Amino acid sequence: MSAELVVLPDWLAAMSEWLRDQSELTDLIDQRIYTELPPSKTFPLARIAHITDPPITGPAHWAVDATFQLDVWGGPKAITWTIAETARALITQRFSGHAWDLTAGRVVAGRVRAGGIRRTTDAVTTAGTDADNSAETASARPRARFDFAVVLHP
Amino acid sequence: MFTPSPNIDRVLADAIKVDLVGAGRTIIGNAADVWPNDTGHYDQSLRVKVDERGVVVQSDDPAGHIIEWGSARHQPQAPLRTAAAEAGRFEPK
Repeated sequence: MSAELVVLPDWLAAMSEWLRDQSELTDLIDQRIYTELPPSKTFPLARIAHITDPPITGPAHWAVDATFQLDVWGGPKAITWTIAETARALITQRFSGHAWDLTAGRVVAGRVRAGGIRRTTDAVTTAGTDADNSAETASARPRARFDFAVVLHP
Repeated sequence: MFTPSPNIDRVLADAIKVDLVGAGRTIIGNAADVWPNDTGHYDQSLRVKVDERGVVVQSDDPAGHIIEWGSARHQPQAPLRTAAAEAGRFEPK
C-alpha cells in the first residue's frame, strides 16, 4: 500500500504572491514586490526572502515554522517605513490565522511573530529609476526591513 | 504564600545562563555549516558572548551583516537565524 506523497508548497512563491494581491500594498508599490531584485530597478521596491522552514510535525511531513525577511528600498525614506509597516500589518492581521488558495498552492497560516522594522541606509549606491519622477539616479538607498516567522501547512 | 524577590528576573537569568551558552555554541556550530566559505574566516568570527545584553551569538566578520541580512546586491544568507531556527523556536525581534 502506498501513501500519497506530501510535497509542501513553495512558501516563498506563495508569500510573494499573497503580498502582491494586497491592494493596500500595491497602492504604494504597484507590483514591485520581488523575490530577486531585477537588473533594472524602479524605486521604491520590496524583496521578500525565505530564510528557513524547519518542520515542526516530526515524522508527519506537514507543517513548518517558516522565517521570512522583507526589505523595502526607497526613496524617499518615509515611504520605506510606510510600505514596510503596511506589509507587517497585513501579515500579522490578515495573513495570520487563515487559509489561502494561491497559484503557488493552498497555504494555511498560523500565528505570525513579527520582528521590529530596522531602518538604515545602504552603504553602497544602487542605480535605478524613481517611480515618482522617472529620473535615473545612483544613490545610497534608504532601507526598511523586518523578519517574521509563521507556522505554515498545506 | 511565595513572594518573588525584586530581582527575580536577574536570578532567573543567572540560573539559565550556562544552558543558554550551550545553546549558543550549538547555534554557532550550525551557522558555520549554513554559510559555506573557503577561507573559514566567517566560521572563526562566530562568538558566544555574555554581556549586558545577556547571552548573545554574534559574528565579528566585517561582512557579517551583509551575510546575515543581505543588501540590494545580495540575498540574505542568514546563517545565524537559520541556525537559531534549527536549534529551537526562533522568535524575530
